[in-house]
Amino acid sequence: MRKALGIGVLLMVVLCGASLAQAAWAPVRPVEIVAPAGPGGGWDLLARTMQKVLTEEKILSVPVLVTNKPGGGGATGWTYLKSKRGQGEFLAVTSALILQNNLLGKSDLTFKDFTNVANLQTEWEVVAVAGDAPWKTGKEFFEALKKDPSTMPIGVGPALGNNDHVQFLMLAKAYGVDPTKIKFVVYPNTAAEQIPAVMGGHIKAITISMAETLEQHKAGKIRLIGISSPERHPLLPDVATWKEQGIDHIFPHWRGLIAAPGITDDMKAFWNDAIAKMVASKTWKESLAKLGWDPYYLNAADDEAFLAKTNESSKELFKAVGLVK
Amino acid sequence: MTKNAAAGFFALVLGAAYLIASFRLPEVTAGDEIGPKLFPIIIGVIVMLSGGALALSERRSQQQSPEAKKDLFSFRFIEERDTWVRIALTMICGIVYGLVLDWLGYVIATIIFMFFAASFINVRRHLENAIIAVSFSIVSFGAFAVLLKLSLPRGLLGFLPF
Amino acid sequence: MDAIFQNLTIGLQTAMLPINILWVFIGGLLGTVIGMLPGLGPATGVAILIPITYGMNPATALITMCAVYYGAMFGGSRASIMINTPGDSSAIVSCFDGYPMTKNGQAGPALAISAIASFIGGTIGMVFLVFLTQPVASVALKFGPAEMFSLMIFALTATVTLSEGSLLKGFISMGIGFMLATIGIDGQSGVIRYTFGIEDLQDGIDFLVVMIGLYAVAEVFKNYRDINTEYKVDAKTIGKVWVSWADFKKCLMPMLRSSPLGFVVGVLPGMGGTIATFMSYAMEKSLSKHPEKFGKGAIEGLAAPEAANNACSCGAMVPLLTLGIPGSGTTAVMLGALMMLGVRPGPILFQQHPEIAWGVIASMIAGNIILLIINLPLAIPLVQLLRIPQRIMLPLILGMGYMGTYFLNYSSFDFILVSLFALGGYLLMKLDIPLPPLVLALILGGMTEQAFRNAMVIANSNLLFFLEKPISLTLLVLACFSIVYSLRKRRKITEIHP
Repeated sequence: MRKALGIGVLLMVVLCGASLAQAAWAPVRPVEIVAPAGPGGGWDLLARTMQKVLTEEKILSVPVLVTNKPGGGGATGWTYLKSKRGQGEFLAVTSALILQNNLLGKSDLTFKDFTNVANLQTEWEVVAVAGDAPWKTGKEFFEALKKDPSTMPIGVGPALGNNDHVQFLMLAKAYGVDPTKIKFVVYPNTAAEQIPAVMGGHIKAITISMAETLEQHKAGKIRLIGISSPERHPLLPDVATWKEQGIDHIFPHWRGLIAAPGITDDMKAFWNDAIAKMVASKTWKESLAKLGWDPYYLNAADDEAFLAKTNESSKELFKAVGLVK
Repeated sequence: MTKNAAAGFFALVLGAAYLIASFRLPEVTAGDEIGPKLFPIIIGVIVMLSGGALALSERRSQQQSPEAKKDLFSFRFIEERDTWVRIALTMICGIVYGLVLDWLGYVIATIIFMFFAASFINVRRHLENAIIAVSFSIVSFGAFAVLLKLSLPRGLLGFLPF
Repeated sequence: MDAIFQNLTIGLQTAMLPINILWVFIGGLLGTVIGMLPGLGPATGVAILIPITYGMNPATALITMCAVYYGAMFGGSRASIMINTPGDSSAIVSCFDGYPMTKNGQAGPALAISAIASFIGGTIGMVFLVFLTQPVASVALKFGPAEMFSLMIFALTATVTLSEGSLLKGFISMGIGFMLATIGIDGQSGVIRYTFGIEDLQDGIDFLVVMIGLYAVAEVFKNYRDINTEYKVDAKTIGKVWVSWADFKKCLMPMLRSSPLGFVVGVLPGMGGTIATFMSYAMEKSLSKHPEKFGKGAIEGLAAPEAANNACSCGAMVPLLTLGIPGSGTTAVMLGALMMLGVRPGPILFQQHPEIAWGVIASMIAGNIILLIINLPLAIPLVQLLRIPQRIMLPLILGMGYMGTYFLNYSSFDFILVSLFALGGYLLMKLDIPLPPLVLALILGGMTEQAFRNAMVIANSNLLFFLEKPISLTLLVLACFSIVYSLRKRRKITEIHP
């Protein structure tokens, strides 16, 4: 009995010690999540969703603030985060743009300048044509594009070199279309102008993320000829994946989380745990579903490897399609 | 020099500088055949032509009626010295405000900026100016950052729990 | 037609729920206040609501957000009229005649007519929204890059009308606006233009930053000259917040003409209240018998853009509700907020949830009336602010100008730009270069270039493309007419008033 008690006490001490070790650092002042964009966009919505879940699920005991820092395709917000070296209370939302801006020479920042925390969610990319267009499948469309690229302008926004643009170039390459021959029409206001433009027949197709096209597709105003997800998406059961169509093209449009550079291991451990708790919560899952986003959680270590791999493959692709020399 | 002639010369110089900068842009036709240079060059030419025409027409009308010199251009640096000093000080304050905002945070930076800006206008009434500065800063921060949850930089006061 | 009334009845049932009326009131009031503050526009107003609408029923959430949107349209011009500082981008034009009215001691009538014009524009816009939504939405689809470019050219012909004094100075002003518009990264080629290596300039200069500098802060600089003279405020004229019948009659036709114009511009993708207000102002000035009074406190020069602006915000709802496509910055934020609630506006919304789609439309009718009731009495305490002495008012204007600047892009770098543009505005005033063409070119510049280059990509660099498309051709012909007409009009005026 006494022995059992002894073991119990010992266990408790060990457990307490463990939890004490875990709580070696916790934020003491308000946590700031930087959304490197203005209110309303994908980055802002993700930051605000995190704010909501972290507070409602009581994962953090301090207030969570969302700081909007738009500019430079994310660079302004990330530069701000970089200036908070060593401070564990500062986080920022990120996406593939942090890699692409650097590869395209638009920014000096790389993912290595920060502490990676996690990958959080993804959207999938689609190619859409007008509802009454003759092309029903990816093959039909890209055959037509190959035959006469000069009559097939493609809409992309807000600027060349983003995920939307890159995924289309990858598909073109896979279907054997010369990517340098494709005519891209740039729409700085993205979906707001691209979707009416393809519906009105001014351009032949758009390359865009899935969530922005759902309603128009359901109403038959536009047709999605392929989606970059590994399996058919539950919200779009009638849209074939590229994989089904014989093209090895799985392309997530992911968003993740980074922290300021130079933070301690205790801080890293704290955020790794906090975010793991957040993505496991019901509120998080429901919020993502409402936004039409899919979970794409990778913890810090996996995310680091994922980013390094994506960076390499993007570099090769950019060279192959002539975006970088 | 009349105002019109001054405006004409100003446009000539501005247009020329802009044109030179435009010609030095890299020739990129990857995205489209027109490239990033054509549009700026057209603008530069329009501004230079308008400026040149304005300066010339002004000269001609002056030669015709030399007495029409009423609309003379002058910065009036001497007559309006106080105004120019105030403008310069306000500008310096505004620029410094921008440079220190992220570091000091909105509340502190705004108090300092408002106090100085008010002092240039409301000379020597320090107490009144201090009240304006402090109350403006705190009321606006409370209303927008605390109540409406808009993001304003916190800087040195980052520890505040609201 | 019967179907429309049936739907409207369903909508009214939703809209008239006490909870929804209450939120229309709260949203409208919040929007008015936010709209009044420089830099804070409807987009920020809707963003503020995002956390508040989390737990709401989707219809109530959308109704509240719309109330903030048109509330901001009512409030936007308050600061333009009172302190020459546009509350948001679509209130820029309200400075042109609103502020001179205040200087002439007519702040009361100016505030009153702007509320009344907003109401009339909003109401006409509503009627259009109810009856014309579906046909108008299909017109929006016909606008491709070629049509957009021709529309921009048409809008730019307003420069001729907007130039006070020498036409050449108007062109110089327009050119400077275009120059500012080309700063930043060129979307089509990725080339960075005229940033001198400053990263903060890569996204270009927000035109409201320029506006706050050129108008608000430069106005403070101008006041430095006579800083010790207090405003000579006549208590009688200032206290009277009402419009005389004669003034109202003067404004009636301009308001009725500007509302449809504003609505149509609002429907077009990527266009917005700013362009609608400029076009209506230029139209009224060129139609007026006394164009020389514009810019010096002509009441119809204030009423017309106000009506256009509110009709435009109704027009902007068309692509959002029918196609699920945000037609403006504000509706884009609304779309994001609605998605967080799990509602996706779009063609299906009208069929599956008529109570939401039509509830919103019906609530806007009630909202317009409520806002008129809020805004008219609100003008009474507002005009009293003019009694505050200059020496206290000017620092406050500076503070609000800089704070508003921060909210545009959350960037402290913009403070430096505002300071520089204020000096620029002061120098341009010294040179007698008119500002309106600069502002117009700055707003349209980026879009004009992009539309031209997009059209050329589509047409393989064939310039005839602009003439082959009927809508584009019509707009170009209209542009030619507009230039000839306003040039002749100018000549006539200079003959009468040399």
